Amino acid sequence: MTCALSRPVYWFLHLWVLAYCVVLLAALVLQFGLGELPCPLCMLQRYGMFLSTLGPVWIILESNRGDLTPQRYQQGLGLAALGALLGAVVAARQIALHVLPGDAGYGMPFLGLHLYSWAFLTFLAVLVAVSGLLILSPVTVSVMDKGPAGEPSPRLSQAVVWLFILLLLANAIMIVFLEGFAWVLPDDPVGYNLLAPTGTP
Amino acid sequence: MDIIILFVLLLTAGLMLARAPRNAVLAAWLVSACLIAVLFNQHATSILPLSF
Repeated sequence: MTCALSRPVYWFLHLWVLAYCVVLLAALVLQFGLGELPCPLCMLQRYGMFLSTLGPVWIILESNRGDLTPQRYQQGLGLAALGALLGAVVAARQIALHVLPGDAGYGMPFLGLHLYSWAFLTFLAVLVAVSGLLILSPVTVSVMDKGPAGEPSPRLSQAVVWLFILLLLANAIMIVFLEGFAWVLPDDPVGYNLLAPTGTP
Repeated sequence: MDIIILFVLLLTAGLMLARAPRNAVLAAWLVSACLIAVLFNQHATSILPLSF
């Protein structure tokens, strides 16, 4: 038994993946353009974003192949919610570290909030989105005996998925340079460990 | 450890692309989630150089 997503839900999932791609791309621009190296908690929040976005990516891939089942749809949303919860915990931890009056926070603020505060809000938005999609699933997901032929715009859909995977790959290459031979990232990184080892654990 | 996490996340995405069995995808995702939780625990319980 397979299922088909309504057009608004199908494209909403793409918008969701694209939104996180923009956030992750902006983080890379800040890192390489403005020299703002990510701290360990910043990186953990990026992992939360990747982990969470793998949920809708899975749903999109299965939907494009015509293999999406109601169970797979629910599992994809479950992965997204758990990933967002993990990311939100990390972001909340970083907010708590800088909550004291007079603390300037880590990194530069954007529109009055630091990046970890924005990250926390995006994770909350994912949890709200997952709840909404599950509540609306009886009207937005139609179950059928035979698989649909696939979505009519797979090229645009594939572009969004590949952008996400490219960002994942870019972060994987970047982290090799940032972490080097150390087991974990330093609390306040000052350079790329692989290029100039700083003797961190 | 961060390197391992990102490569397991990449592996998860690769499994999704390669139409791997559902359980393989879920297992890879779970491994990366557990590694992230372990790394977070390590950072959250490490001594911070705070001064008040």
